[in-house]
Amino acid sequence: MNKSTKGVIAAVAGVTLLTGVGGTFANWSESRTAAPGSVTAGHLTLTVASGEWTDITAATPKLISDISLFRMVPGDVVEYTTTVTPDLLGDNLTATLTATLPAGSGALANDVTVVAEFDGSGTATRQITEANDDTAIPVTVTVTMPFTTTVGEDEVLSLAALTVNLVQNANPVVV
Amino acid sequence: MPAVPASAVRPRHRADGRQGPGRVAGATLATVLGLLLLTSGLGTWSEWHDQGQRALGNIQAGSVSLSGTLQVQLHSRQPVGSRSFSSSTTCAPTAPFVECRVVTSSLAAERLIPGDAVRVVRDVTLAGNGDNLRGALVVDASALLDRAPTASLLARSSAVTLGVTRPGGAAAPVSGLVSTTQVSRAAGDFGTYQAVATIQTPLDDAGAPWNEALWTQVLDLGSIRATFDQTS
Repeated sequence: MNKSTKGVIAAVAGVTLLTGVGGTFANWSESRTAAPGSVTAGHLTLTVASGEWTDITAATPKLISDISLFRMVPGDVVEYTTTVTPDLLGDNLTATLTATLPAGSGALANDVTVVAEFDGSGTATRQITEANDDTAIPVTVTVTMPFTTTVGEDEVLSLAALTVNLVQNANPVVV
Repeated sequence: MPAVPASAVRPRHRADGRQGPGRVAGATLATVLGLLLLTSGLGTWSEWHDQGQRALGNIQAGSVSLSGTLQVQLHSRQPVGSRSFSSSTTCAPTAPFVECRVVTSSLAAERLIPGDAVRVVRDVTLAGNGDNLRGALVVDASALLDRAPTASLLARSSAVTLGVTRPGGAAAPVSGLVSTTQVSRAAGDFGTYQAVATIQTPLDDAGAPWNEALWTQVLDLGSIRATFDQTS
């Protein structure tokens, strides 16, 4: 038997011992299986309810059935009211709710003020957490024609659409 | 061995590890597109996001306007046909007057006789639009006739009264020569109001001195002013 043949035989034997062929281990051994389960993502959505216009000029508000038929005069204050209901689920989920209005168009836009706000807070931005899940948040758009206005007769204000955005806040980076 | 074209053996990557011009351009384009997607208004958000919209519609302002007509009438107590008028347009006299002419356009040519009455009839139409439109309609006849000490004796000797009726015919409140009526469009108060200012000249039997003293005297008519002031 030459040296090459001997070497091959020795290598095969060694590999056999190391890989356990034949069920022999050189040491004690034990194994466990862990089941990490499944991970489910949360969600983030919002619903904007259909709103209504109200004349809040007087102490007793009056519902406006059709805003297109309402004729505003100096001193009037009308308010659009709706609700936004966030639906969010996530252990670390927080979000920012914003209400935006495009700049009103039409000549009357120069003679009135238009303000959008959440829940009478005076701001159109609000932080949302899971505590607000499925809780309706009032949103109002208030249009005011100052009593000191001396112009604007028959003019029109086009308000387009109220847009409400719910955007997830960035989670802090963990180092 | 057949010859192999040079293009067939061109390596896919350069031996020095650098990419060819085409790959650099492709990578640049991909980067730009990626940045656009992440940062532009193409609707892509880097966080979870939802949006809702509600159309708010249009709001129109209302309006208000005043318009009117003016008619001047001359009412006479003299027996019918016993005097002359420049105007031939008649109007209905009310007792104790027996004859009436519309003298709006012939006023300067008319000659007054003591006891005549000049009536200025001002129809004021208040129109407007506005769910909360309300205010005060003021008819002021205090400037109709100058009765200051420097005015003519005829003017100083005449009495001026004012009456105002609402669109439905009811009397509106008058204080002196000013009528102030609170009106609301929602209440149906808008419409045509009629103001009648009467200048009553002295009667010819008021006293001997008056007859001659009133000769050639002039009544210089001013104006009846109607205003609407919106109230909150």
